[in-house]
Amino acid sequence: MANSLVAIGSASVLAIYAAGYWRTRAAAERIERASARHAAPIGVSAPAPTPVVAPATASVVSAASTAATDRDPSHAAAPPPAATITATKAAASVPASAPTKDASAPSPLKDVTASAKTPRETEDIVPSLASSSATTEVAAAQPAVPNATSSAGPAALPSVPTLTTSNASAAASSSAYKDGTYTGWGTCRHGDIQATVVVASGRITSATISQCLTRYPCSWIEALPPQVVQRQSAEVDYVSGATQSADAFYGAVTDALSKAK
Amino acid sequence: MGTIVNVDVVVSPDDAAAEARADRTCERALAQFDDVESACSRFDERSELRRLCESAGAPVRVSPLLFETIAFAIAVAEASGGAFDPTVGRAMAARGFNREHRTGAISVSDTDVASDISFRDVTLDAGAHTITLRRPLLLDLGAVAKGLAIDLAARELRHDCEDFAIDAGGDLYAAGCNVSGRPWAIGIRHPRQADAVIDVVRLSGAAVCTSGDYERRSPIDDGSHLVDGRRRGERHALDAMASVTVIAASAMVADALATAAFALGADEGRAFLEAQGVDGLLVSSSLDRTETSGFSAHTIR
Repeated sequence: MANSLVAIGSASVLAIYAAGYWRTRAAAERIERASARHAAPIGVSAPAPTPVVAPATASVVSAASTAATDRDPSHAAAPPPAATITATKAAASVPASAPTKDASAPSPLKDVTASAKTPRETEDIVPSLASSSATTEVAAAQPAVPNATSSAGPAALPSVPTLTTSNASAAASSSAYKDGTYTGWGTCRHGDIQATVVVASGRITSATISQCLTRYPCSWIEALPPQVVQRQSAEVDYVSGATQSADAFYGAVTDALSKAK
Repeated sequence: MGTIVNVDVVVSPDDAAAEARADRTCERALAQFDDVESACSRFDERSELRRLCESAGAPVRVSPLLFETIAFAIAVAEASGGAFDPTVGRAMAARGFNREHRTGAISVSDTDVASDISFRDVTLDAGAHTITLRRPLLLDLGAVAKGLAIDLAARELRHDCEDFAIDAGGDLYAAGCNVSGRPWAIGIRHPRQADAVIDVVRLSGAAVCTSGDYERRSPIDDGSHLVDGRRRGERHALDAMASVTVIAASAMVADALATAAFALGADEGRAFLEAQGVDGLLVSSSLDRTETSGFSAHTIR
């Protein structure tokens, strides 16, 4: 009985994924043709990542999308309902991609995310506030790549990280923000958002959406502003159980905070 | 699903080709959410799920997506003794969870709730790929569909990307490392303070999902959207728990098991998670913490 639901669930996902390929390949090819006609990415709000010395990781590419929009005409850019690819026969396991890099890629990584450094003098993780990058409009088809990630056993859940020292250096080098009220703009494929960030005693005390020029209603992301303060204090990449997140807003916050230096 | 989905992919800044590839992969990954929604939405009368629910009494041949999703939901219902039960759709609708999030329209007018409806009224035929609803009922796949979409998106991303994270309204899958080269750090929301976290876990190649009573409230009885399938008619039947967080290799598993454990309560819920081989954190409405034995191995304290 143990693990049975885990096994059933993994098998179900695999079956659906494999079936999806056959069901949607025609759609994916259509999308690719449409994609070829479209212009390249537009409107990147966040500053370009500064070059980094450290290998492998640096800038964050991201795409926000509303799940749930396939037939909503107000979401012209949302992908068509079917578009998915790549059958795989891999066993239900996760890639062995886990923490191979931690030791080699410590703190000096800086990019848009790092520009929103925590003002805290101590410990741990740079909050992943920023990262905005417009993306091309639609998906492109991808030939079936048989299981690019050779699977290696069961889920490689990370052990407790051993990097607290290097973590600390990332944050400790950051200076506190100057007190004041700052505004900034962020852009994503769904529109623009202006954020207002208030800094007091070197810490972000509030973040609000001051203008919302997105195709989706602003109420969809009303849960985001509290997260800015939350992420600052928690210093995490994401929050489980928090309901929403979106790039444009974080881009706007990063933009605002860049003025608080 | 009424959820904003965010995908972050970590790429080298001087690798434009990888960035362009990641862009395209992200779009394909996000398309998975549309696929799942169009099949599994309880609110959209054109969804495959709704068409199935309108055909009670006869076997209906459904897509692999819907078949597998319902099969998994029924398996969780069996394993949890009915605490988790996807046939709560009408009970949910009767409590006001019946609004199509895109249009605001009320989706189901017929809200008769037969109190003895259960997952046992759903028969699956794996050979014929048919599902038979033996009585009129409305399936709710809310606790599995979003996780499924995350899993499908993760599969899509894995082909081209090593380091990525998918956040669908606080349910997450993270692979590889974050931009700092470390496993992703995921806070767990404090169930009573929107701007605080009660714990932080490290995640790589795994999903974390949280079911919280704060997510949606009934406009009728102000109760949580989480329903105990065994006591679906009762209001506030689930006041014992505030949130349950589960870490698993699959977001669909994590999401469903978090919902099931929420309905089971702290002690039974923990035993259930342990028996299923996943780790979790259960927080009661009085903010008492209960953890599986392996949970602390994931946390940063």
